[in-house]
Amino acid sequence: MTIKEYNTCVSLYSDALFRFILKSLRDTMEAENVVQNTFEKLWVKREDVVFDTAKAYIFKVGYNNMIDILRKQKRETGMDEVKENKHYTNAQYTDVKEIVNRAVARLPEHQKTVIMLRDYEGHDYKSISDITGMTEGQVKINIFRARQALKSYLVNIEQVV
Amino acid sequence: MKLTDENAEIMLFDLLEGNLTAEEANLVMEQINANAKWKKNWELMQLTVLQPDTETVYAHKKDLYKKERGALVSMLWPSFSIAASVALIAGFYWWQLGKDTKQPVAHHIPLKEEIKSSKSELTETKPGHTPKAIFIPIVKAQPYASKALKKGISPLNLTSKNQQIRFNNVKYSPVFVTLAVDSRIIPVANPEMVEPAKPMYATNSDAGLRRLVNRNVDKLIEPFSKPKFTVGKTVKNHNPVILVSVSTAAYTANAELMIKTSR
Repeated sequence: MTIKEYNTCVSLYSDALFRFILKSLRDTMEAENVVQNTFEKLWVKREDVVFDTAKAYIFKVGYNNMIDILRKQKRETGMDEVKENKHYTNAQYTDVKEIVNRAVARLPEHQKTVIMLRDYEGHDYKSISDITGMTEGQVKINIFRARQALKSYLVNIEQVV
Repeated sequence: MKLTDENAEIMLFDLLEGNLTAEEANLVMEQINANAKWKKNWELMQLTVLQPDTETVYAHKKDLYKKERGALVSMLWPSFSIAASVALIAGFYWWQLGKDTKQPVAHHIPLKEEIKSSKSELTETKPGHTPKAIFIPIVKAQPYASKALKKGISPLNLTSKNQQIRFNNVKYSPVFVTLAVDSRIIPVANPEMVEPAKPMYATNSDAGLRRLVNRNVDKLIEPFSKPKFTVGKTVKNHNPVILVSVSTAAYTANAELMIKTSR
């Protein structure tokens, strides 16, 4: 990968990676660190990474970094708690997007990851499989279950409202 | 392809995901439009497609960009002219160990024991034999576990250059300790390490770099005001390896420098 191609990757994918990581970590500083570390690694490995596969590489490195942080957080808290953050409030829901965001935050981590990769970045099953280490079948099942869970959440909210 | 209560969820999912052919999709859509329950279900299914929040962006993107090689090299050369802005850690290590002795050059190589024990190619270390030249090129500098301990600053890089320096008839590969900031490479290490308290970052003639340093003066001076260098050695896969670590209050950087020995 040339320097120009590397810079193109920064332009194309840094924001998307940041959004993806932030959604899971819900910690801006940690998410920024992950992005920084990911592109640092891409820069070091630029001779080995082909531009065409750089997107998957970036998300894979970022994802692995994120998983390490989540595992560390779990060890530190000692429980699999759902972390609340300022982006998600208990206030009245104002629109569907907010409701969906709330529902996404409640998804198991692996379901949240695959559906975000699918919808935010348009990765296909194969690409998500490469990034997460799941099989393509597992990817599809997890996306299916995530959509079912979101749909159930929307139905419940609708009934409450 | 008939929609039923049993297969509706799967079919709607496959329709949403684009897993159906155009013909299958049309067939399913016709049945959805003809049935209020499935139509409602389909509307809900469509709401599960997440929309990225494009207003959320990575704030430090400019720090990630790298300069083209030509610009980097031209920027680096003035830095070299600043005394001691380049780290010669590996060379210094050997030099320090050997400078107080009067032994032949071959006996000054501190990695001799490791090299012997690893049955490497270095045959010049036989007693009484002084080689004319020993090349100790660093064939690989592998940064590992390097990280910034403070937020918002780039981690240190330890790199080796494809360049050799001759000392006492022995060639060494210098190790450059550099800090990547704002797409610029700033040498930070003192090769002689006689004044570790003195910040050794280079402010070359580039105005942009000067502004950068001024802007980040607290970030740059503080981390490198008291850099601590440690150099260890080990053997991996029968090759001597130097372990270099640079740590400050804000940074820790580690690198393995694999050395290949030959005449």
